Amino acid sequence: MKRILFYFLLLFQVSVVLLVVLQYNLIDKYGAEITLITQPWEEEYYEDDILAYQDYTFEFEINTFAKDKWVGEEVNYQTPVFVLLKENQSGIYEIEKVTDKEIQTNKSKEIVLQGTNLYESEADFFHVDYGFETVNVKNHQDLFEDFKVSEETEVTFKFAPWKQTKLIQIN
Amino acid sequence: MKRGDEMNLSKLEKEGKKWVDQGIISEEQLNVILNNYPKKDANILVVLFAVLLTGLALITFIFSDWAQVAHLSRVIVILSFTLFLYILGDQLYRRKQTLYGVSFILLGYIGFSASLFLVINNYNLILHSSWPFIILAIVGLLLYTIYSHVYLYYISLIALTIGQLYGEFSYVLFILLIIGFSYFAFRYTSKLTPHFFGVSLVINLIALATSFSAYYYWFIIYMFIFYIIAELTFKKEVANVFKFISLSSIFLFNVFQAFYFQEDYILDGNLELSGLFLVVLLILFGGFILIKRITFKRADYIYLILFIPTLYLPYPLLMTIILLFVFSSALLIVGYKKDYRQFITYGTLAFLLSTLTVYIEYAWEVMNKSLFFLIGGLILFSFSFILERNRRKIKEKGSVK
Repeated sequence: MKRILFYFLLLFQVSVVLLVVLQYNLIDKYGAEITLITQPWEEEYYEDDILAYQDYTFEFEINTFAKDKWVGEEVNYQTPVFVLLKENQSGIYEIEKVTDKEIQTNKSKEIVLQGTNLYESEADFFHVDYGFETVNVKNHQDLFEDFKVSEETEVTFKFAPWKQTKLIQIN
Repeated sequence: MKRGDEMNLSKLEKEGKKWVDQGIISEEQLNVILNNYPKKDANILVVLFAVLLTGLALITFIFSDWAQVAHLSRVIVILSFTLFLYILGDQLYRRKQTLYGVSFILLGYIGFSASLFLVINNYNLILHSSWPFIILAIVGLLLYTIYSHVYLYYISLIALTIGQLYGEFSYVLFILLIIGFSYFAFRYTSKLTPHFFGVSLVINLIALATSFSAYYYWFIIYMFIFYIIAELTFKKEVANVFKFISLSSIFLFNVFQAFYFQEDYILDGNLELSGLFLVVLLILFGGFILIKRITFKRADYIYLILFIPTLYLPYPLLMTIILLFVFSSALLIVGYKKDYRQFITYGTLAFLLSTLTVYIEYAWEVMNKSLFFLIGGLILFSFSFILERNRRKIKEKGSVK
């Protein structure tokens, strides 16, 4: 009995790890393509170093939003929030509304993301993290070659329904 | 655990030689007594450190540049290595090399944890819940049921606790703790399982209480329930550990409140009082009194003081400080009157902590730092003087009898 349990556990652990890898390859098929725009950094010195870093954390327009987009009561720092994004005319996704209740959307040019760590970054503006902003630079070296932190840049991701993302393009 | 036993053994050996010299027991009798206490293997510590170091090597290797490259081949290399460790451990365990076997199983577990987080990071999985920790805790617990070595219990409990501190409060982890891990703590499968379980439970309950920030004071109820469960536990060793952990947690909670209430904004409408809280608390008080009536342990009523919600009283800050002092003095008074050693020790400690709390609270800001430490030291000196005098008095009383 214990033998069986042991080998079952081994199999289970291996499959969990491999499932994450396998799912990543399925994103191409099932993921929704979304283009976001970055907030330019002012610090110039960071410019050349990007390729030397292991990870890079993007700061997107959708990481901050005005207070009037918020629907709901005041929430705790840890409470998850739900962000409805909508594609504008130029193909960029922008924040439609943010709320503390779970929301669903079936429309083709909309997507709901879950965010955390909500805080008031400046007067009447909130900052939110989504968890996909940090990207491994070494794994996407070719995409990062022309990237400049001081310029507004369009970045395209694929979002899988099982909360996995893939960086597709940096313009 | 092991060290403690070893020290006791060497102490026994020393004392025993004296008894032989004094003619209380013979040399043979001493040997028979000493043989009843098996010598502990010092090797276990060496192996533990070996596991720690190798585990660290494994983790740093898995998070090195080489492994950060998202490629299936590298994942397979890491996974095969993890499997190799597991199977080696299992084989050694079956050949009666228990310690080495369990060590390699532990390393396999560390390898699996590291590779799980590696792929989550490399393959951009967004973590909104603590599911990896749930998997780790379950796998660890099942491994413990197979090999029943206490290290496996500790490591999976640590994984669970870290998961609980990561992000939002996870009810799944909490239920896992209450249903899975508690079983082994109550069964007392090893000397330290109740300790580890109790501490992890308290951390879990802190996470639960702070996840409703305006109602954080429900922690009092959680600790009260924990304490009552401890009272109802049959196995005395387990019950004592749980009582100690729950009571010291609620005491420290009150110390924390004494600092917390100092910030004025906290009491200005940032907290919401709930009627339900009072009802539940009253029921628990009733339950407590009922238990004490049945068991005739009247001195334990002192503990009730700790569960008074000072937040509901006027002047909460002052009330919390009074509560701390009333509790520690009550412990000391009852301890000296009835000669309960334990009460005296804990009372002294509680009194010191209470004094320190008030002292830091009121003197740190206003006083010159050197003066602050000096007066603190003087307070402790006078305190120890009073305690020593009391102790002597009791000794004299005892000898007169």
